[in-house]
Amino acid sequence: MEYLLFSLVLLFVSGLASLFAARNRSLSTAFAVSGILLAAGFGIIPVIRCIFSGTADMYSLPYPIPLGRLMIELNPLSAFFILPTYILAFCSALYSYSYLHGFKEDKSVGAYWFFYQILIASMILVFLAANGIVFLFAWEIMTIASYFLISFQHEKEQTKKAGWIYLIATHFGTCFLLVFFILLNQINPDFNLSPLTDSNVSKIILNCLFIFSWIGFGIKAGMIPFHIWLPEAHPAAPSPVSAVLSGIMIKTGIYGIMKTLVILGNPPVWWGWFLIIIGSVSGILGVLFALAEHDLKKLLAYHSVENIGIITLGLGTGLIGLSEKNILIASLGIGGSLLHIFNHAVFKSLLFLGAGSVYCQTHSLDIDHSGGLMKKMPVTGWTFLIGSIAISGLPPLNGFVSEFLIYLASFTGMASLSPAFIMIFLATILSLALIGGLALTCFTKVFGIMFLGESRTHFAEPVKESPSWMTSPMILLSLFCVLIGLFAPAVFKTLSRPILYITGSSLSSISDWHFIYESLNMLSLSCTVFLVVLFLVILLRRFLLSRQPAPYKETWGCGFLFPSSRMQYTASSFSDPLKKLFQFILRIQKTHAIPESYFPKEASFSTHYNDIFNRFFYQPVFSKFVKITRVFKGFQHGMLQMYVLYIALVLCLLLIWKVK
Amino acid sequence: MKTIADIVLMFLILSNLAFLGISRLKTCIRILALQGLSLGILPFLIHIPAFSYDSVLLAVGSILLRGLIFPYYLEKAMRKADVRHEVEPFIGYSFSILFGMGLLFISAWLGFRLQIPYLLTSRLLVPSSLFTIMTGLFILISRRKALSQVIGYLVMENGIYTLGITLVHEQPFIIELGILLDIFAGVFIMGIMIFHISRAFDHIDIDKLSSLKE
Repeated sequence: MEYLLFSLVLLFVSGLASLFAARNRSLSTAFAVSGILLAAGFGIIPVIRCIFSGTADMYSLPYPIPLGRLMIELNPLSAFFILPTYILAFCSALYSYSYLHGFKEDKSVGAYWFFYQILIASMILVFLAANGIVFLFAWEIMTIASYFLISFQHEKEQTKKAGWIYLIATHFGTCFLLVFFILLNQINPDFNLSPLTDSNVSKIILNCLFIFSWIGFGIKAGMIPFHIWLPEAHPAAPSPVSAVLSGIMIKTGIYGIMKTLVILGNPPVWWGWFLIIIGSVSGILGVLFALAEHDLKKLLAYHSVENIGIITLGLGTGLIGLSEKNILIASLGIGGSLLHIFNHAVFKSLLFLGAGSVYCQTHSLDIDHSGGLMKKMPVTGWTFLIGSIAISGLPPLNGFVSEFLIYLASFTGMASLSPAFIMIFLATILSLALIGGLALTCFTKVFGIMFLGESRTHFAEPVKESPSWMTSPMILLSLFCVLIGLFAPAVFKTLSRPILYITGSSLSSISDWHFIYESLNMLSLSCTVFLVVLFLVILLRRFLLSRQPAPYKETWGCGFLFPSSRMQYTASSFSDPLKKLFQFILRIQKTHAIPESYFPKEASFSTHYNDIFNRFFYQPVFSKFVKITRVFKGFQHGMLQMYVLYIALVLCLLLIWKVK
Repeated sequence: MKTIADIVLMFLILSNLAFLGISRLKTCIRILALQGLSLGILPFLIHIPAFSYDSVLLAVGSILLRGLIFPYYLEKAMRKADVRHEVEPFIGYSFSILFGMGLLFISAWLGFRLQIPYLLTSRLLVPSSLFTIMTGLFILISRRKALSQVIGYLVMENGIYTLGITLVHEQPFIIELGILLDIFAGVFIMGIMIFHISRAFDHIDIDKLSSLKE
């Protein structure tokens, strides 16, 4: 525990140091990166020890704060979340070193690093908090630090707006969390976050707590219908920040829900049903919205919504297993959910870093503008490909393993639980399959359009591979993707302590797990065989083609005389059939000018997608709200004296009312 | 001890009334300094073990900051910003004093009715501190100059301080000292700000500054 505390202090101090050294860019960066490296080195020791040994380590600071005590605790669940935090923090920090070079000289790098370190430290503190007040405190610091990072390029109007949307959305969530913690304090005194000891708490309070935690934490996690801040904030933030936000910060929401479940214990069945429904809606809608997007980072943001959906699905199946006292289903579902958290952290940040690497070269995030990047940026291309395969849940990479565990949980549930559950498990399986298929289409679109073919626009500067500061974190993350896929049984073994912590069961239940290990062994064996065969086929192809030269020629343009590289398949045309199928949900707006007469002069076609939740729910509600609050504008005239008068009047009235 | 404490508190009340009726800024600052000095010795007068480590620390800090440093800074800011000498109130002097009487009445009524859970050295403590807080607020509301705003803020803080040391059995001295430090930083910054504002705009009238907002 002392190592972890030291690591937090180190993060803070190095952040301050780079803030003060802001004048000298490389010095500032050196402070920050070395600070993160040291902090990760120190912090990861107790974390790994805790994941393997499973013993919780409590630390309580003697200083009395109002409302409870300053307590932090390292338990297997928090250790499991802290591990990817350190990994990603390090990777993104390395990446940022080069990425920040792209900004003009007058942009303060010091502020970036300061808030970056604060964000990492506060996220770790969120995972460690064992007291509601400490938790909320760390939660708010995290929110504010991430707000400053999102609005790093605040000179752009779009970024400013995105920052505001994020801040409002997340504070809306904090409102619910505040109520949640106050309510929890009624049944668990001193704002303790330890499991409830009193077993006869009324059902209504427990259900209220669950719903509040769903809304409060769901906003941070970006579950539908609370996802609207994600597609705004991610494109606005610098790429390494998006990687950390999407990789870890939104997972703090999931952590919150899991922690709530641990605190409340013994979930009723409907919680599981509820989470499965929310998860499948988030997953399917998230990937559909992504399909309609042309902006690469917005698309990736919608994929975060989708993956949060998958994580929630896993958690839901696990909860049904828990409430039916079936430890096998519970551990499969929760294990799948936990592993997907780690996997998503790895591949989503890999993809965001890839997007940033492309952006640094082409200065555009529109998918339809680029093309043929594979030849110019091979490392970015290959790592992006690995990330795409992983996020689509294809074997032999890591995304498949976690989805496989959730599938396995659902199939086991259909086989061993009562027939009443068949429908819900069937729904889980179907929505997972649909999500996987759509995600695959979406990433075929992204990868095919951006990296294959020819460049669609002429760039001012020649596009070349990003420097190795940027590519090496991407290679490291893609290695994780491959290794987790190949060593699935070993990975599941490391998951066992966090799973046992959530399910609250003892070690003896591990004996049922031989079924899981058998399936995972088969899985990793077949993955290895597949990779070996693939490798051999590639070698064979190389060998056969080595004699024949491969000339570089134009595609036959059906006899057209003046082909240009703009005449390639576009992203919207690729996804058009699916978009037509789901038009009733997506409601994409099309504007076009059809060429007329025999010698047409101009023609245009464009599609515009506005999030339906935004368009049909949030915008009408908020404009109504603005109309109502306009009445109060008269009080808001900007005269300082009058404001003081308001305060004085209220104070006097309160005092008189109380004393009378 | 009790009589001296009562005299100090009476002085507090009278000086508050003086703030409302005096038109010259410089005199206001002088009275503020006197008020600070007299409040500095208050901890010795109202606490039963008169000379504890904490109260000495508080008294010394209070006398230094309230009695000497704040007035010094304010005068310096006044000189540097080249402020005209009048307070320039929104509400006239005589009406201000009448209003002050009303406030005194309200705070006396409140103070005597307020249930304080333990024995106080002087019955005047709570009413006079409430009156000081209200006077500070009134100055904040009714005066136009940024410098008089600072004075109002300091007067209000004097009231909070008096109320604080009344309840000191419950409240650690360290908090009181922390507040003192905060105010020190606040006054320091305000001094600099006022100087810069007056240099940029040729005046330090609050009501005209509000046109700067977005």
